[in-house]
Order: sequence, then structure tokens, then C-alpha cells
Amino acid sequence: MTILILGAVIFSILLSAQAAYTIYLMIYTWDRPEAYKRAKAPEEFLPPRKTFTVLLPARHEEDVIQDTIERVVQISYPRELVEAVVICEAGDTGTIAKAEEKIVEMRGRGIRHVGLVTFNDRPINKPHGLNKGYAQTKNEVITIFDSEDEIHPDILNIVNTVMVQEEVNVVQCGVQLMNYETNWYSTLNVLEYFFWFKSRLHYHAKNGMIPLGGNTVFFTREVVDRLGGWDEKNLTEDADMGIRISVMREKVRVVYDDRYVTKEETPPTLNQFIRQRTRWNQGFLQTLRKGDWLELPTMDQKLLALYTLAFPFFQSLLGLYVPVSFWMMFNVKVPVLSAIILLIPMYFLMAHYVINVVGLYEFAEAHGLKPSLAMPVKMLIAYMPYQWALGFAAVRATVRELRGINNWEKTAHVGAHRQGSVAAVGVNPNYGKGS
Amino acid sequence: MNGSAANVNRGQANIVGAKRGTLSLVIEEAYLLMGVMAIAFVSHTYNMFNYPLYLGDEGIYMEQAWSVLTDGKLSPYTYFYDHAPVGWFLLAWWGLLLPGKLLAFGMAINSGRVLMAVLHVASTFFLYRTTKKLSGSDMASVAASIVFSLSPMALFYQRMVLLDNIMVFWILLALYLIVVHGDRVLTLIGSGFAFSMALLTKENAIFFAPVFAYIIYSNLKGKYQFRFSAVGWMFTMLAIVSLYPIYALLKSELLPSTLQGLGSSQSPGERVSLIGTVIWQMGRSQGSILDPNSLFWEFSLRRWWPKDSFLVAIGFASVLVALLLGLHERKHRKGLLYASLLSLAYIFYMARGSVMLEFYVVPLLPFLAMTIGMMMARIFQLFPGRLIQTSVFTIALFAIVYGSVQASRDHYTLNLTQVQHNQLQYIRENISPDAIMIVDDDLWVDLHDGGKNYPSYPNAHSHWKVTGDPEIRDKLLKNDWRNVDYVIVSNKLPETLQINGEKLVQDAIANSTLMARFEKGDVAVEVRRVNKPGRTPPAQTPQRGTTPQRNR
Repeated sequence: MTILILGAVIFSILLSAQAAYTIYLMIYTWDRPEAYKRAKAPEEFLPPRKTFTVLLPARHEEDVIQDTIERVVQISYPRELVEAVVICEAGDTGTIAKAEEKIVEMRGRGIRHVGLVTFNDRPINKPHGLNKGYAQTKNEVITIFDSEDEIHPDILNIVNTVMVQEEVNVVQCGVQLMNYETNWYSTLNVLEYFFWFKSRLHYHAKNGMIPLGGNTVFFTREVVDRLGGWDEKNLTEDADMGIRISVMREKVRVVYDDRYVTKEETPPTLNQFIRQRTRWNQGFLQTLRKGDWLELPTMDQKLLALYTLAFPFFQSLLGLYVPVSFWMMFNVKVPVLSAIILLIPMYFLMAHYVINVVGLYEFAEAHGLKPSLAMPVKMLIAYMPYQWALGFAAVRATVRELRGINNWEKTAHVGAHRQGSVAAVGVNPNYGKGS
Repeated sequence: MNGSAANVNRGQANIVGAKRGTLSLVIEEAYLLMGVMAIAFVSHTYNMFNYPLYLGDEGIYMEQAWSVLTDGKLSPYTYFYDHAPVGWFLLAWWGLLLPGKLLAFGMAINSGRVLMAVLHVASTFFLYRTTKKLSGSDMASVAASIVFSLSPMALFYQRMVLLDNIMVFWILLALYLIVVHGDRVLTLIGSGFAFSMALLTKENAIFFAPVFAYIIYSNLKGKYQFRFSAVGWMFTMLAIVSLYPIYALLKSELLPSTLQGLGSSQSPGERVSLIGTVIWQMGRSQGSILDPNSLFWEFSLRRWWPKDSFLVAIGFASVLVALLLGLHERKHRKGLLYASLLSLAYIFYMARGSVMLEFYVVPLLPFLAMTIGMMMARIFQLFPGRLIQTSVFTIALFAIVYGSVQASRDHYTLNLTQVQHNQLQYIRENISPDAIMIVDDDLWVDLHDGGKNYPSYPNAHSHWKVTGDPEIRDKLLKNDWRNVDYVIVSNKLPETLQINGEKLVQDAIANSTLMARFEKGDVAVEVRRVNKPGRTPPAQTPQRGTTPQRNR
């Protein structure tokens, strides 16, 4: 029994230390306002100089793809400096048809810089699509937008200015979930994004070890070439890309400015939320196993990478710790000092909740929203279930990774895969040879 | 530093000039700061082992620190939540660092006094930097630090091992972090931690809390990090303070054993409890400021005024003027308002009429000094020209230094504790280690822990515990003075015994013979042997439920 208590005490201390660190990363930019100021978007834009390639990987997005294309077209940047391609797997005829329809319609309006790339080889996943699209394009700066993204029209002006002014080759701009009132987990999910992009990524960028996001991220073609494109076996090709860029000691500029964030929504159902999270966690574990992070220049960076990529483990531990420690409190006779130490992770959990509530008001202020007074209470009720959902996704990801299941779960819903001919519509003669 | 940033557009030469200016200011401030810290150190250490007399309260905290170190317990007797233990944790930690533990500097209280001096020097640093930041004036910060270190009243109490002195250190640290380093969230969290340490050292720090909340609000409102800083401070403070009731809960000592314990003004019963003690404390009153016989007036007029009329008179006058001036100019300058509010918060605590001891004035002193310093600077700034200002200020400062040193000559020259050394020596030479003794707490640790050279006296017990702790009174002494062998007393003790109705101890003294007496001035200490003409059998039914009297 003594050994059990001792183990629990040590575990509780380690858990507290990691919780303190996580919490610090959440409030990093508020603690270091100068870091945040540095990360703001420029107030004045330089004249357009860079040329951009917008990759729009899409799968079963027939409902929204036309809007997505329209939004890209509406970006306030000279059209002759932009090329955009929708990337679809050849069997996704629904999306392809809608995209083609839109492209034809735009040609009627004299808009000719959007094309379509399809591919019919495996694997059917986002990194593969990105590589295909990348090969068919030529502009200097590559970026990715997801179909559901609501992009700010000035985003390319910002990146053009930052890249020219600061001579950086990689820029990650803010992505923000917005629907904080839709369902029980959306508030906490929205805030996770908020803290991740507004605070934590700045810490990563400063320390030269950054897992990039999946969209609104910008690379020069030269960087992508050096990296050899996206890792098609990785479920989080974006984070993996960030690690490899860090290994190359390429500076990453993070721009998070509440005014210019790319807006997204939380997954509509808990099921999808858990699937999405499982995929991310498993992708992190894959990146961890791949071991590129071991080539990071300094030990601090290696540890930060290890901590970030292995975080799903910690998360599931914390989720499990609460019930276990409650059980111990009532069922094991523990010396007073040990009992107090066993309680400390709970304090960090409380602190984490409180920081989320403060974050809610920061978020609301930044976007001109007014959260209801009941919101903190709702968050409190949802808080533990949310942690358990995350913990469940983490355990699930670990199991899947250990059993070697690494398909994109999104494909599980897809009907029979069709080996069809390439459907191609494009202004650029290079478009459409996607195979 | 801001100056150089603002000058960026004015060409390279200006930038260098501004940097040099800033640098020389920094060096100048460093000299001033080192100067006042040196004064703080010398004034508090010189002759500190000899004066003032070792106080019983100092002994109590030392014995509790000793108990933490040797037994891993919060007190050698039943801990009854009279104070949260962080103050003597710090003393114990200090003892751990010292090569000879708590006996490193001779008598145990000495090692505590060394820590007090260290804390005072640190407190002076915090006071100086905070005052400087709030007022922008070197005059204000120098004057505040000098008054804080040299005032006879401050010197008298600040040399003693008192929880109040430890609490002041934490409070000043907490304030310093907010005022001087308030631009970061982490420092605010640190400040919340320091404030919780203050509260867990001595709970009346709570009276500063509203003013701290106001200072955080007015200092940070509208800034980018305001929400996280304010919440971080509050959460950290509450989280750490909550460990204290949780400790009580885990020991099943949170709630009183009976419901009668709640709501009655009776002393905590046989079973100790945190809530019980708190309720009992709140029920105790010795008259508010409205009562001319209250302790507030008793101490103000009879103890504090004669010790230091300058500090009392000028201090209180400054607080009132500073409050009015501070309210008037609160939009653009906050210093005077903060200083006067901090002083008033604590004056309110003292004036509202709870149980008070004369050294309870300690937490007020740094803020009186701060207010005086700021007011002095404001007055001298009315003189024309920097040279005249500085000259007049320097003359005034010298007058204060001279007056203070004159008024505290005893502090630097008198050897009072000699009588206690002699008393201890006498006991060690003449009394056998197994004797049952009633002592005052000043000698407690030295009797229980003789170090390498002297015996320990495990049966030397504090008169408070002889009266109040059933373990000692009923089990050891069977509630009968005849079971006591010796009484070790000072000439101040009988009054205390009378006030608290400590019958058993009084009986023992009444039936004792003087063995030795050591005198110096109006101080006298004695060693007395209890006369036992044929011991009576132990009492069959010991009386239970009396009050533990020492509770401050």
C-alpha cells in the first residue's frame, strides 16, 4: 500500500508539472504581450509582389465547394498573381461536377485562374491530394484552404507583406472555430483553437519547433521542394510538415490577428468530433514514431516536440486520474501530506477551467460577441465530459496506431472507389493531368 | 528605457544620450538602494541578540519551528489552529539551512532574529522599489526606507521573531510584484502566491486584500493582460489558502465536535477545529476605537506614542492628507492613494476592536513609512530648484536619522537578554533534566534542545499549555501545582497570569522559594523551586474544558 501511495504521489507531481506547463503555454501571449504584438498582422500592406498558389483539397464537398471557390475568387489580390486548384479524387464525381460547373460559370465572367486537379491513384487522402495539386501548379507561394474555411479577403496581402518585409518563407495564419454556442462541446472546442493559435503557436514559433496547422499556412515553393512535399502516410501531414520545417531551421512566422483569422466550425456531431480528434492524435503519434523530431537542433526543441506529439498520452492520463484520485481519497487511508499532493492536479484542472472561462471573454471581446451569463456554468458542466471525450479519442488513437490502422476515417464512409478517367477543366493547360 | 524608445526618431546621437542618461539614473538608484539596504541591515543586526528582551511570543514560534524540524509536527503541543503554520515553516526551513540548525547563533531566538533581519533587508528593497515606482521620486523612496528601518518603534518590533514581520515581507513582495512588474501574468500569479503566504503566516493580512484588489484593478484595467492577471492573482491566492482548511478537513478537524461549538463565543472545546477557533476568535473583542478604554487607545497612548511619537503623529497626519490628495489626483497619480489606503486598511483592522497585542502595529509600519516618504517628497518638491530641494531634503533626512538613532540608543547599546542567558545557564547548572518545570516560552527550545553540550529538559512546559492543554494540565500535572518542581518566571509574568486567570501556575509560584534572580534595569527574571510539604494524591476527576489562553 505504501508503494501504491508513493507511486500516486510521484505521478501526481509529474502530472501537476505537465499541467502547469500546458497552462503556461495557454497564457503565453498574455504573459508576453510583446510576443503577441510581434505576431500581429501588418497595419499597412505592401504592393502585391508574390504569386500565390491556392490548393483546395476537397472530398465529398459538393454542398460547399462552389462557395469555397467563390471566396477564393473574391480575395482582394490581383488575379493574375493567383492560381487556385480544386483537388479531388477522381471517384468523387459529385464534388467534381459542382466544381466544374462553377469553373465554367466563372469563365463566363472572365475569371480564368481557377482549375481542377483530379487523381485516381492511392492513397486517397489530403497529403496525396496536396502533392498532386502541387505538382500541377507553378506560383511562388503555396497555401491550403479547406472547403469549409471562411477566408479573410486580405489574407494574401498580409502574407505578401510579411514575406517581403521579413524575408520569411513559411507563414502560419490564425484559424479560429467560431460557433461557440452550437452544442455542449463547441465552446470548449472553440477555446482550444483560440488558445492554440493565439498563444501556444507563438511559443512554438519562438522556440523553433512548431507543428503547423492544416490550412491558411503558406510555404514558398522552394521550401516545399526541399521537403519533398507532404508525407502521404501521415494522418496529420500538417504537423509533420511543421516538424520537418523546424528540423531544417526554417523560420516560421505566426500571424494571429483576430481581425484576419480564417473562420471554421466545430464538427457537427460528437461522433465526428471524436473521429477528427482520433485522427489528429494518431497523426501526432505517427510523427512521433517517425522520429524526424530527433534531428531538431537543440535538446529543448526535442523535448518540446516530444511533449507536443506525445500529448495525447498525457491527456488520457489526466482524464483517468480524476476518478482514480477520487476513489483513493475515500478508500485509501493516506497520510495528510500525501493526500494534499494527490489533490494538486485537481487544482490545475480547476485552473484550466478558469482560464477557459477567461479565454471565453477574451474571445468574445476580440470578435464582438456577447456570451450569456450562463455560459461559464454550461462550460463547467461540459468540462469533465469534454476531457473524457478527448481522453477517449487519445486512447482510441493509441490503440489504432498500435494495431496499424491508419486510414483516414473520413474514407470509411465512402462508397465504392471508382477508377475513372480524369475529369479536367482548367484554364491552365497543365491542370487536370492528375494522375 | 522608455525614454530611449521614444527618442528613436531623433537621430542616433539622442539615442546614445538617452541611454547614457538612463544608465546613470540606474546607477544612481542602485547606489541609493544599496545605501538604504545597508542601513536597514546594520540598524537591525547591530546589538540584536542583546536587545530587546526575548519575548515569550518569539519563543513560541521558535518552538513550533523546532517541532516541525524535529518531530515533523506543527507544534510540540496540540495544534489548535491558532495561526496557520507557514510563518514557522519558514523559520524551520531557515533552521534547515543553518549549519547548527536553530542553535546556530547561540540561543534559539537569535537564529530567528537573524532571519528577521534578512527579511527586513528584503522588505526594504521591496518598499524602496515600490515607493519609487509609485511616486517616481528618489526622495520618497529613500525617506520611506529610512523611516521603515530606523524608527525606534519599527526597530523594536521588527527585530523580534514575530509572524507579523514575516507577513510584512510577503505583503511587500506581493505589492512589489504588482506595482513594479505588473506587466506580466506570471508576476501577478507570483504576487497571488506571496499574498497567500502572507495570509497563511498571519491571517489578518486579509485586511489588505480589498486594497490589493483595487490596486490590481486600477493598475491593469484596460491592458491586454488584465483579465488573466487579475484572475491569475485571485485564483492562485485562493487555491493556496484553501489548502489550510483542506488540511483541517483531512485531519477531521475542520468543524467543531458539537453544534454548540458553532455560534458560541466559548473557547474551542477539547477537540480542536479550524472553524471553532475562527468563530471563537471573531467573538473575542476588547473594545473598538469608540471605547476610550480599548486596547487601541491603550497601546496608542501608552506604548506606541512614548516609543515613537514622530512616527505616530506624522504618520497618521500624512495618511489623512495623502488620502485627500490621493483622491483628488487619482486619475493621473495613484501613489498617495495606494499608500494611504494600505495604511487605512490596517488602521481599520486595529480600530475595529479585536484582541490585540502591542506588536500588532507591525504591518502598518511600512505603509506609514511609505506615506511619510511620499508626503515628504511632495512637500520638498515645492521648493524651487533641484539643488535647494535636495539640500532641504537631505537636512530633513539627517534630522530624522539623528532623532531616530538618539531615541533608540537602547537598541544599539543595551544588553537586556543577558538576564535570560544567565537564567538559562543557572538552570543548566542546577536543575536535573527530569525536573518538571513551568517556563515562559522564551527559553523553551534551549531547554528542550541543549545541542551537543547541554542536557535537554523534556518536562519544561510553557505556562500557557500548563493552563490550557489537557495533555499537560490533566495528564502530566494531574491539575495539581504540587506536581511541579520548578517555575521559571520574569517580573512581567504575574500580570499575564492574572489577566488570563492561570490559577495553577499562580499557585505554584505562591508556594515556591526563590533560587536565583537576575536583574537589569526594570527587568528581572527568576528561578523558583516549588515547595512540596507532603505531596497530595493526584486528583481523581481532573477538571476539563478550560481555555487555552494564548491565542493571538
